[in-house]
Amino acid sequence: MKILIIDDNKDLTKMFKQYFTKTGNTCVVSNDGPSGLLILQSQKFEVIILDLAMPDFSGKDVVEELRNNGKIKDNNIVCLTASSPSNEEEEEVIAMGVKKVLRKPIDPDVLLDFIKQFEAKS
Amino acid sequence: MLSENKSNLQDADYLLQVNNALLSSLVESSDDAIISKSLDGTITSWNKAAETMFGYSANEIIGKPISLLVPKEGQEEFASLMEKIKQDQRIKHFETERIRKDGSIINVSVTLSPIKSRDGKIIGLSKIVRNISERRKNEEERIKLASIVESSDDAILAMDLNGKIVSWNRGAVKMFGYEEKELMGKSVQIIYPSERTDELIEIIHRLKSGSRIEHFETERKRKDGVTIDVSLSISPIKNKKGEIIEIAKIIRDISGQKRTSAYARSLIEASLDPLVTISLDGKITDVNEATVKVTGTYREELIGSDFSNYFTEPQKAREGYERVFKEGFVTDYPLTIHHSSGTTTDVLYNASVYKNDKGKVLGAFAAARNATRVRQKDEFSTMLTHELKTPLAPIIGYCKMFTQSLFGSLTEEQIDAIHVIEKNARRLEVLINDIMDARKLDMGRMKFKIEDISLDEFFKNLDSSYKLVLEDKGIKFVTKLLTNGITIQSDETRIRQVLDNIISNSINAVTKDRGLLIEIHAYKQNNKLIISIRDNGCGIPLEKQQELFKKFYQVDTSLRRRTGGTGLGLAISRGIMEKLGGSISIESDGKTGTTVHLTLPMNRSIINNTEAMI
Repeated sequence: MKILIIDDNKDLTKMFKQYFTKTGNTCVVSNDGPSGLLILQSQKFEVIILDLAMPDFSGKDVVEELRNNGKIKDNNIVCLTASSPSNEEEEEVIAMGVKKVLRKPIDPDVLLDFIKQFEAKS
Repeated sequence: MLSENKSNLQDADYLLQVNNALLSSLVESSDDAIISKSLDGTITSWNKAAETMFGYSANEIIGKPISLLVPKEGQEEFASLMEKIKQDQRIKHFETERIRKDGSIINVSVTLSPIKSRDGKIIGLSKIVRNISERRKNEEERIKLASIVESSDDAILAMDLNGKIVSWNRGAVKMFGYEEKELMGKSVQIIYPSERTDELIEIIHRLKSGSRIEHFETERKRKDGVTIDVSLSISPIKNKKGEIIEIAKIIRDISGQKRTSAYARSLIEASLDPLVTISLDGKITDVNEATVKVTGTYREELIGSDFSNYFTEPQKAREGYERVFKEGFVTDYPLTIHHSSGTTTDVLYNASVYKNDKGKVLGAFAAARNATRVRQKDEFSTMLTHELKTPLAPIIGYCKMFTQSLFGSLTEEQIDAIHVIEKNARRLEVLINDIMDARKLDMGRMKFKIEDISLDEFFKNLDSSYKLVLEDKGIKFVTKLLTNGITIQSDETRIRQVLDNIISNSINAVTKDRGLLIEIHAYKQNNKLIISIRDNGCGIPLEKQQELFKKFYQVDTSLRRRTGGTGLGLAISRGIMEKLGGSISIESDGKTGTTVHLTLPMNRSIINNTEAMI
């Protein structure tokens, strides 16, 4: 499946990209929100893995942008956060159309198991 | 002639009869008791007033000795009086005591005069008795009052309607330094500071119009010229007709009180936090400068207005102070203050009631803390959590990739080493979570989300999380449930967190030689949900059970190294259970396993939600 990861932690995106590629998926990485949105203008992904806490342009900003240009329904977005459960931000992005918020650190195999549900049936 | 004489005689007789009738009606209608008696003291007549005064009817008492009316201790005095009368003396307004039929004593004034026969011989006595008990009481009252006035520390004075002093008590002498004789007849203005002489006209004017003045705070001047702070209470003195004849003034020296309250006031004003007092009906009764600033409203306008007016959510503000009056206090009650310019300030209110010395609630004192500052602290710990956890994700991820041979196959030794890295990274993750949870519980800032929880689903999820994983390790995981179809209101994530903590302890406790078994029981008892987690491990010695809930406590310190527990799990679990309105207890004989009992209310009404709102 085709996955986009937007996270400012380069070690993490490197690891995920290697993991997803080695498990037979296609993975594109972006290390900030604006370039992630740019990639989304020209490519389509089955799932977007988005870090909520990024400097300057946060994951929530990305979600808002996608909602404002009406693209949120076309994308399966799974957000990652290192914060504790039941924070307001989580409820806000879910309300805006994000499919799920998962907590970091998350094992790559657990994440892959979870996003399998969004794999396009061909 | 004869007939003329007869007729004269008849006229005289008639006149006498009229006189007698007149006399007896006078006697009967008198308010004084009028009694006559013979020389030996036998009562011979008894009027209406005597009946009322002494309680005997004429029928009962006529023919009885008069000494019946004399108290024992007065008998001697009475005898000597009788002697005087027999010697033809008149006794006027003699004050003594007499006894009523019911035994009570009355104060009387007695006038005695002899009754003489036509030839001037004394044949009896007439006696007029006036009840002066009332007058006596009034007199005693007056003496008592005078002594109170004299012993009062307050200055008490009376002046006429022109402001001339007519009385001046000891308190006034002490307070102002003038003796009574110095001031009698002088204008009371002598104790007014020059800039306040107008007050006298105002006071007299107000008194004349019938109003009293109470606790009027002003200044007065002593003989030595020093000005003192005083509180005045002034009331009119009226005569029987209700006309004001004099003015009474009570003056209290409040200089000391003023100094203390000025000091307290300066502390209140210096506070950067908005402080207010609220009356029982929700009106602001006092504010400090910080409140003026945060609301952008003048003090004069704030005082007397509704407290709830100054918040973005007036209803929530009302609920806040209603809770204060109901429960006595609130802590960290969140509200948003509305500034007159349109800006807002998020605050947390701490408020409590204040009472008078009889314990009656007079109002509430409320202090707001700027929540932005509090939030900054919270943001710092959120950041810290985030920064500490971020490096863990790639570490654990790469470990996983190695152990899943995604970089080619590794030797057993290499895989072992990777497991150690992964295990320690996970331990760090748990530690960070636990420290943050413990801190949040300590600060009362842990968030709770209360929802309907289907117990069927809850235990199904629990079972599927543990059953297979534990069976891989050879541990039998058994759930025995009597909760079919039951729904409770609580925080599912937090209950699960508590169960995870306890089950993780159980996993560490069970050993092969004792049998690897963990059992979960759940049932309803007295409208509470009980969940028991039992393992057949080595148990916990009684003396150590009390220590279990302390932070960083572990029964066996070597266990920490072996199992990677943080020592915070039970402390956090207990904190969560208490916030959810439940409890946690431990049962173990120290030899054959441990059972942890969790008790939870079935619905949210019992939950202490104070902190949950923040």
